[in-house]
Amino acid sequence: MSDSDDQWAGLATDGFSTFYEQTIKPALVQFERNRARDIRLVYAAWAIAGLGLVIMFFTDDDQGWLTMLGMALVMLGLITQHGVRRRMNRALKESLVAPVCQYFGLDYHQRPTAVPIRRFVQAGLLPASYDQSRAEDQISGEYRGVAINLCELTLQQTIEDKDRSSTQVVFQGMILTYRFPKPFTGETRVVPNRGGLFGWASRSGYRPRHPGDRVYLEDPVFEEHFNVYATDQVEARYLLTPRFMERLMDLSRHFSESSTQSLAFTENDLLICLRSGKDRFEGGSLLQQVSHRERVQELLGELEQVLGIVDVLDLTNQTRA
Amino acid sequence: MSFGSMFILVIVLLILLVGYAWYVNLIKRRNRAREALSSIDVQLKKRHDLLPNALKLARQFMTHERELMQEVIRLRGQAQQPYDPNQADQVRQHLQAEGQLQMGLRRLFAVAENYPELRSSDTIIEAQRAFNEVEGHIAAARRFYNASVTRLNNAVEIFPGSLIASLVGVQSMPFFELEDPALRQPVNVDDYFPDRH
Repeated sequence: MSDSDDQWAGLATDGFSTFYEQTIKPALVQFERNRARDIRLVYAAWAIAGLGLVIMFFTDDDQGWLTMLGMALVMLGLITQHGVRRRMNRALKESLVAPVCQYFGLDYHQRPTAVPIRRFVQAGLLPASYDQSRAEDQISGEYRGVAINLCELTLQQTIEDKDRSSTQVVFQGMILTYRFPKPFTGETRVVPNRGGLFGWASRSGYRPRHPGDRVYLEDPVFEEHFNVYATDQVEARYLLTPRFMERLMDLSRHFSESSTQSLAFTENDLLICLRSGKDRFEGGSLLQQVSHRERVQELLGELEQVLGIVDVLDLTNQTRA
Repeated sequence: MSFGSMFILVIVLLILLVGYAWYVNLIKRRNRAREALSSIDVQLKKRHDLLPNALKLARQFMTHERELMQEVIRLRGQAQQPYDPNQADQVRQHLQAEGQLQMGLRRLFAVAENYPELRSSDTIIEAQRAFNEVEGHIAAARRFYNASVTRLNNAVEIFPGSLIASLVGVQSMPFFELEDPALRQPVNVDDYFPDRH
């Protein structure tokens, strides 16, 4: 690895510096030129909205047309700034996230069309009751020989309350799919151990939504953090070996921010549901200069976190502990 | 009926109810342990079924290891003897026989390492892969069995479960333990690096 590659910590391998200089940096420089112009447009839009507010609340208008004008200016300003920022955000992702994923042989879709929500719902990892879904930043392909597919997902539910309705977020985070190297036929779920009354209920045999039976494993630390349910007791232990349970605990520590993970082994895939408020793969703030290596380094760190699951769980190894 | 008689009757009914609940729990745990034993036997049968093919391959190359191969065949025959899962002694003998077969297989694969032409054979590589997978399942089935037996034995050996168990004839079951006591001994690194000092 060259000295310049040493500056890229984590995933970056030999040749990433060259790729950065030849592909990413020119795209970011071009984006930066447009960013300066677009940011001025955003500020102008905010100014128009502010002017509209002033007109609405600080003019004495008996006929009402000034109030209407003020409202129109506010809406124009808000819609314009929202549109410009959304366009900038998309352009930044295309300039930064897409080529970095391409370097690692992965496909990137800002607005994915085929998101396996139903599969995760059937696996008991996502709530079945939602009205709207919004997915973004889908990354798919092969990493170190392991087929992966992940995306960010938000699920919302409309709650009707007498004569008004409100929207509640029922899930926010990431859903990840990895091809598991060991063959299996049943279904095994690993969910957080909530303890307390719910934990007592689950220990007493009340299982609101998980198929099969509760599996009690030997690792006390693992049992403190997770509950396991499986359609086949032997297969659950075949998948969750003592070493793999340790790796799942490592996975919990791998995600440093506050998040909860739940997993399901189904149809030869490992599904991971990561509930987290963090918005990944955004490319950073639009208000600051983007043509810095730090932007790329931050993205590499985010990629390393999700791709590193392959290494943490040792998904490349076949018949092993 | 006097209050005292009613009270005694209620106490007796409560004791009978608790005793029945304990009995039901005991039977469930015993059946769970039997289910686990059956799971082990399913995996062990897969191992037995893989053996003839592996031995045929080994015989082609390991012409000087006839004794070892015959020993493995003998151990397989011993392990396949029928047994009564209700008899703890027979279960113990069955599991011990399987443990000895596993040791024999380990020796066979270890000796096979000395035959490069056998080691590089695609068929033997595939056979080893299949064995590794089956051994993984056997290890998982063993963990399930030992966990079930622990729960059963706790219920049978701890009072008042021991009383109810002896009344209805439910016995402890043996664990599926390590086959080779030598595996428990600490490893002496000097044995592997004699020229170290």
